[in-house]
Amino acid sequence: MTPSRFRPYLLASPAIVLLLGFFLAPMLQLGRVSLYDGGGRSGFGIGGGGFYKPNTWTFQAYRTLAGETYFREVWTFTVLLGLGVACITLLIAYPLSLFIHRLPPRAKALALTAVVLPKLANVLVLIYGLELLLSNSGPVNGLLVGLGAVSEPVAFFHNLPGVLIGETYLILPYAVLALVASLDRIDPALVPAARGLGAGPLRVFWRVTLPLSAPGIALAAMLSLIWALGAFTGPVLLGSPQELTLAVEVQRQTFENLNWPRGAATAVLMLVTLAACLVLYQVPARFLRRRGGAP
Amino acid sequence: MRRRLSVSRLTGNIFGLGTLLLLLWPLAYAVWISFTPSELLEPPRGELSLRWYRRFFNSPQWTAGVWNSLEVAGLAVAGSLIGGTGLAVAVTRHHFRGRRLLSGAVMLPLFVPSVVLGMGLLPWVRFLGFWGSLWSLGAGHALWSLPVVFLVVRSALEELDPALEEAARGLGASPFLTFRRVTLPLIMPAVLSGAAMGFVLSLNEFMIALFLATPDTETLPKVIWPNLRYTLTPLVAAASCVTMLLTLAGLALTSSLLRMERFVDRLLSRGK
Repeated sequence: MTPSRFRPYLLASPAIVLLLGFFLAPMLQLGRVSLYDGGGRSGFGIGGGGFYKPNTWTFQAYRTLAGETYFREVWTFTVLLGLGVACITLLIAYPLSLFIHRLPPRAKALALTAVVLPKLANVLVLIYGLELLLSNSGPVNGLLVGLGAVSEPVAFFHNLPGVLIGETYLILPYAVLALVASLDRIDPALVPAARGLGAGPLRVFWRVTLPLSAPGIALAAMLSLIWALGAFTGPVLLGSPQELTLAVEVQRQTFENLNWPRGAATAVLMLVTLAACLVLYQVPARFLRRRGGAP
Repeated sequence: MRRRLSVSRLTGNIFGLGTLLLLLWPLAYAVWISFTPSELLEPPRGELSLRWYRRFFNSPQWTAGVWNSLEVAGLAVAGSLIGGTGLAVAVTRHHFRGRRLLSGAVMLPLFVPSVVLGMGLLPWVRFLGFWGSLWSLGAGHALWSLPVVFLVVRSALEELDPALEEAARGLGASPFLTFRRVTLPLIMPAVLSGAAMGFVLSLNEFMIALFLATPDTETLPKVIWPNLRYTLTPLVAAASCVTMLLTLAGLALTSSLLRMERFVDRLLSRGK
């Protein structure tokens, strides 16, 4: 038998191998590739020569990105889109979670299933369903035209509203799950107690429910932001070339431009942006948590 | 006062129900349109047709996608079950150096955008020389399901009464026998639900597949992708329904396994 001192390491070894071999190593490799020279349509990608010059060390890829207005625009758009999607998601998810939270147990289970169900389906399937729904001949436009609200079909995709709708739709379930969990943790006796002490329903919501669900709001906002910053499917399938995000840019540099150093450098900058957002995010999150912790 | 309250309740309810229906609508609409007899993307008028499903199952590219997806999901589930369960046991039952570090590190893949992971895995897997094998995809997908299995199994282990394991050890069972005969049966529901989640995650994962799949190892989402981008036919709707069916089959299988286990349990306890 193995001595018990080594047993925990033996038990953890498959996970350690997986994490080192397929998470840490690829992340290091990503950094390494971003420091290669070369690549690009005109150079090394064509003819099977490779996607970068081996054995080179250079900051060329980063320098190019830093000097480009194109990249700055993509970066700005990604961050703004992330913030926008996170805000819209919260605005829809909070009332929805409140609704689900107040349902009787069986209806609540059903409602939560309805929220999770789209997540069991493929992202592509969902986007496809949205496309069918929002297309010029689809039911939404049919309804709008039929009601006389608009004279001709509204274009809902290949533009910014399409991207916003798509990404919000993809992220909403996570936010709802986090929010419902935090609303359920609130002591159910507090609301009737506040009402008994003479507070109106709005005041109860404002002074009891909202502050106590603040940690959930913070978590939901963080999850939404992380997911929205990595937006790929929405912008590609529902957006136009104007709605380029960093994730799309990474994929395009790798597979269309065959410039791996540039793709890798973009991915590294994406990670840095994400980390910076999470750090900056601690400021409002701490405020929210403190409000949530206050009696 | 009372009337205003009920009005606000009512708007809340309408909003809630409406949003839930909206969430489900794209799925339902894709299912409906997959039965269209028409060449175009329009809902079936009158009769339903299975022509797009026939097209799906007659195309070697699509059926190969189904098998690849299932194989990759199998690999990912196996990897994350072994890794996640082992780590959960190590963390809850042992004190060792690096315990907290590992419990944190295992969550990290969830916080990295999948496109970044894909971009890192591509050169790494090419460097290792198994680019274009289903193993590389399975390992990539296992990274997502590993934290899920770990969390579910760990919370099951933490809720377990430690006296049960101590009793088994006290009666002379080896650590392995204790785990096999006492711990594992008790945490089986958690292990199976972790497996189900891993299966669903892998089956529907798309970003890693986009980076790592080659024409020989295309998973179903990877086959759907160009069709969705360039040619919109009801075939994609049929393919979507097949992926949903596979997902539901996976979930049904695990839940029936759970029920069967409970059934065997009852039989055994009655025999005594």
